[in-house]
Amino acid sequence: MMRRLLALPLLLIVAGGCQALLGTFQRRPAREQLVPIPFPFPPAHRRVEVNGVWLRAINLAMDDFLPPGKEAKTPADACLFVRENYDVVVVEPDDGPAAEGLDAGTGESDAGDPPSPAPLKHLLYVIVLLRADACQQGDSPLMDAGATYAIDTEQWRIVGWSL
Amino acid sequence: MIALALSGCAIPGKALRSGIDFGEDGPRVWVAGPWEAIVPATDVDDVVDQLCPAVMALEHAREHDDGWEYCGLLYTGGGMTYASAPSPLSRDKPGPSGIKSCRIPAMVRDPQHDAQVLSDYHSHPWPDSPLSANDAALRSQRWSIRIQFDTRCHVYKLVPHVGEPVPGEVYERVGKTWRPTSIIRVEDKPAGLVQPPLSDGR
Repeated sequence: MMRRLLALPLLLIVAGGCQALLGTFQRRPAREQLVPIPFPFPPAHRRVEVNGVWLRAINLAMDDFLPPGKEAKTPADACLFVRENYDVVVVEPDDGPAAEGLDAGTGESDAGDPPSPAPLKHLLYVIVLLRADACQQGDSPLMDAGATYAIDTEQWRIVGWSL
Repeated sequence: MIALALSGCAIPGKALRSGIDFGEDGPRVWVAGPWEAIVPATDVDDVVDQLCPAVMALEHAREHDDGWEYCGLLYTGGGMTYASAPSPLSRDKPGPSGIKSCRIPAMVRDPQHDAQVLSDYHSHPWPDSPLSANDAALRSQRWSIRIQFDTRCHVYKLVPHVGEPVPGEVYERVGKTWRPTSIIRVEDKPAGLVQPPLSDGR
């Protein structure tokens, strides 16, 4: 009996830990657990088509900006760590990178000139902006509650970052 | 002493005083002025030129990902331009995070002057960190001009022209002049999309 009582909390802890590790990832529930929803869908109120390359770039940026399972230690952070409180703008450069200034967060030293940006053909900028109506900022809004990422969409890696 | 130098110990920056130099009044951040580190001047640019070295001497101002942003105000009173002390107030308290976000002061407390706010100013704790999209986005504009600088003391000025059908303007301080560097098209002002640098032939 004692062993069972100990096992249940342990199971819950393990399950909770997995949930934290998995973050926002959720598998589709079993069919009997789904909500009755009409398919095909009713007339659209709004329709948005999301480019797959852009979507992956956004995911890459947001996984760095707010990693799944990121733990908030204050009430203010609890709001700032919610992804839906941010809007995202994706910019595809006209002709090659305009990467000047995008290595702001990677500099190791204040000495000397910054390195020149290496040219990349497959580049997207992902700009993460805190929504104006989010997190009760009042008359003193947060100055830099977001970030700009440069994503290499061939190698699928972050190649630049700035506030 | 040699051991300390070899260990890379940095001289700790100056600390500002919560409740004296800056504070909160309900949902609003206030900053006290004039800041004794800045000499007032009749020309606002003479005040701007003093800001970066003074702010970078503050604690954690240059510590990259572990650093703090500071936000302050420039204001006029009696024909002179003053700088307030800056505030490190952030989400709840400053601390290590990729999210650097001092809160923009809503008011200056100066018992000696009838303060008229001209501009906000803020620092980035990294080198080569120019005006960001978040700095330029309409949602974060509280005053009509914004001054920003990084740990190398590159100083930028944003004129966002909020509510006006004209592009926003970005300048960099070069010597004693403001060099136009970029614009923000009217349609890009909500997201603060700063256009690539203007060519020299503009």
